Amino acid sequence: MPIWEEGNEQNLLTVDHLEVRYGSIVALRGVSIEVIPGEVVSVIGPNGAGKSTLLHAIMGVVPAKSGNVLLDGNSLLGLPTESVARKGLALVPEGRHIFGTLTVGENLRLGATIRNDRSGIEEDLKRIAEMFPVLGVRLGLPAGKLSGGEQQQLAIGRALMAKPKLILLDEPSLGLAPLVIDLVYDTLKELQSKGLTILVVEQNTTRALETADRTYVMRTGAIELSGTREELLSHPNFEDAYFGFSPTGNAQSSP
Amino acid sequence: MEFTGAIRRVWPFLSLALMVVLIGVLASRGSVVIQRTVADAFVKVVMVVGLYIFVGNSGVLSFGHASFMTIAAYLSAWLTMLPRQKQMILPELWPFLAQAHVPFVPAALIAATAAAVFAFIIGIPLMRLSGLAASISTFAILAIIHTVYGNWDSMTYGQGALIGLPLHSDVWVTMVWVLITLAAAFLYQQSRFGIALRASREDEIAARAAGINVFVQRLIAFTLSAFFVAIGGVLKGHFLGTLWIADYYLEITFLSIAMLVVGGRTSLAGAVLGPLVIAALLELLRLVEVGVTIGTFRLSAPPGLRETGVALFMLSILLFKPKGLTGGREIPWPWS
Amino acid sequence: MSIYIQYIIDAITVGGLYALAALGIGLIFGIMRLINFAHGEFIMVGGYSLLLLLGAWTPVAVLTMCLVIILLAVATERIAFRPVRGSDPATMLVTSFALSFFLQHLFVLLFGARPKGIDIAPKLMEYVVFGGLRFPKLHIVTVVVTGGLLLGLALFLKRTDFGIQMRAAAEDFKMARVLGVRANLVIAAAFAISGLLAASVSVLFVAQTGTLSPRMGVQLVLVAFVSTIVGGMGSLVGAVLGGFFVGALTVALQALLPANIRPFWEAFVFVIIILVLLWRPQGLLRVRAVQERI
Repeated sequence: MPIWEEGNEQNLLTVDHLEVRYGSIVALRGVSIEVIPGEVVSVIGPNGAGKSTLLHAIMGVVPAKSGNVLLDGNSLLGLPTESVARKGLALVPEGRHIFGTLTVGENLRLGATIRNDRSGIEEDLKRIAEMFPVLGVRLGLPAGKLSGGEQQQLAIGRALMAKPKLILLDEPSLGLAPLVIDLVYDTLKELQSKGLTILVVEQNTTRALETADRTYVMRTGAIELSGTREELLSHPNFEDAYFGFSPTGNAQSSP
Repeated sequence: MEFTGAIRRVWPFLSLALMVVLIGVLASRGSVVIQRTVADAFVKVVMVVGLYIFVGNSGVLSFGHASFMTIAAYLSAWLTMLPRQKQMILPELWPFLAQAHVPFVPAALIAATAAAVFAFIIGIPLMRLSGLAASISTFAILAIIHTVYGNWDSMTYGQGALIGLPLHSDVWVTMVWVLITLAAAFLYQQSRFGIALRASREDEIAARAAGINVFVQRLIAFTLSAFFVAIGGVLKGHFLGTLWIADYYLEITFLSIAMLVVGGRTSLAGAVLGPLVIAALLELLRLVEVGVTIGTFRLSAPPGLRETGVALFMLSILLFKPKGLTGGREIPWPWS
Repeated sequence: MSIYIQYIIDAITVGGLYALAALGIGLIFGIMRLINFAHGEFIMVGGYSLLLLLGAWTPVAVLTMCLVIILLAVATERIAFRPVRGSDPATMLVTSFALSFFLQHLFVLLFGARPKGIDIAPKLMEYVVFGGLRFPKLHIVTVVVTGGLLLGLALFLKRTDFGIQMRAAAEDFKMARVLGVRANLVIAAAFAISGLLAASVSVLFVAQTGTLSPRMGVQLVLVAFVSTIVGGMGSLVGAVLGGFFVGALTVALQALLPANIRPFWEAFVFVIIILVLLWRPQGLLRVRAVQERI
């Protein structure tokens, strides 16, 4: 059973019984999560669990059939994607999706689309360049020439340029070398210490559990478990929830 | 009950065939004008169903099919015109063509086969392309054929009107060809070739992974499609008795595609209903253009109304029913 | 020697015109994956607008006509294309064709199908002699206008924030929206720019040919369409490149082919286009975002 408190007004993000369908396929069945300001929350689960769909639904990229998404108590449901971004959410999508034909600097500046303060944007650009030195030296180069790890840093830097209230990351470690994954997660920890709230979706269970304050476990469109790292690891049903078979090795039927 | 099962399986074809026969029979009892209108509509159906065999099943838009019409129409003209006429109008025509005089049906079959062979040959390089590159290449083929035939004055009368084709495309002849084309299209789409091609339409990569040779399937459909579109071109030529290179270029190309998409690109019913509805609308608007006499007053609309009206109709269908009139479905079995 | 320079100037002039037309098509295609066949009719309507404005002082007439076409372009997007946004490419293609068909025949209704003569700037057809070469002033104007527009557009897209947003939208529309780029605004702007490009092509083309007909946009839009694809789908630089390539090819073939084959020059252009596409199906310039992802 998921552990969460009803009606917590201090939540930055509340997802309330969200249902998403692709045609007749139910991708999310009544998913509820919450994120408190300053937390790092992770969502783990096997392929096809609906983790990406959850982030896309929060961003308004895919429409929800029912349920709600609240940011600071305001509903995001039904808003077009660009409006959701303007409310303070930033997404670092799976596969990075950086603009290959634009320069690194232009990619970063695009992150600040929703902002108006020229000087603030320039300052933040310098700060990001310092935080990610590989980007700093390549500001004028086409972003398509960066390596996978560098592109991931660019995608995160771009999201940070928006000065978001909440940053969503979709499988940030996918396709990256272990050292680069270290760098990415260290950066996330550092950002948390500076007050950023983070929601990260991962298949890399170890990292997610280590870095997050709380973790949700998803399988076939629903939340199976949630809790801190210690709580989950000691939970008897943790492997069930993730893999879908009981400790005796028999397959469970899906809900 | 097996009998009902069999009928049910061929119902998508049977329903359309019955509808066509009904229209044809009714038209044959009507005035000459009605007969000509229906015959013209049937010619359009042959062309669009022919186009559908490739476009509907492969999902690749071809802008080049009018080239097959061109090749077949002129070849049929060369074969069916009286040698006397050819001597007068096309004095420099190749001797064996100048002396040829073949009855309509064999001429049509020879012409369509030649077009199909041409399609097969150009299909070999082109069917390896996908998406927009394929569509542009097919358009390039049309442009090439159009330029060649349009300037080959000695053989085709160039940009002018080649007259003297015997008039064969009446209601009955065109109706029979519609039925043949429908049968071919239906048999193809039920065959393993059609099914394999449709799989590639949905997801090309998955189809390849399943072992389907997408190139071969597209080539087969392209060739078969060319044959019937060519028949449509031949029928069109023998409807008016004249050939004009401009009639086989841009307008017919886009009209055919539009009629297919408006009808519903992925179903045989769409390929039939699209042209029939548009032809009916065109005729209706033509009557408005010609005008009506009330007493001593004549009410009529200026030329250009017909096409403007059809264009508006097509736009509305696309805006409100993007999948076409049939929504991509066949005519449903009425007793289920 | 001088005849080759003549040909080069011709190639630049024709190529420039085709490049402007191709850019109008390529801009919309890059952002929305929509091939706007009605672009040819924007050019045609521009021509007829000039006819109606003929009494007025030329610069005013031209500016007014530009405004008319920009408004027409933005209006057609709002009315005809927005409802089908996101549909499959064939539906959008047929929509743009139906729109093109509608506008063509509307103008047949209004002005008749026969071509009309129009003389907008007779001074431009005067010849200039320069170092052994002889060409109409219009060529200079064409080169200047083409260069100016391309430069202006390049600066806009490269240097302004909104221009960067448009380039991003052209590469990855969804991701641009995720960053907060306003979809409707970007698309409306793209159509407005496309309208301006159509208007400029209209002026240059009408000044050169001196005739108007409801069907005058058809051939141009086809060339523009083909140029965009050959140059590189989804790439704005590719569209310009494609336009110059096809323009140069056209001039070269008409100049170099022996007289008895010359009427068939279009066929040669298209053979070469097929060969280019077989060699590089994505066009001469490859844009990474357009490639198939497994």
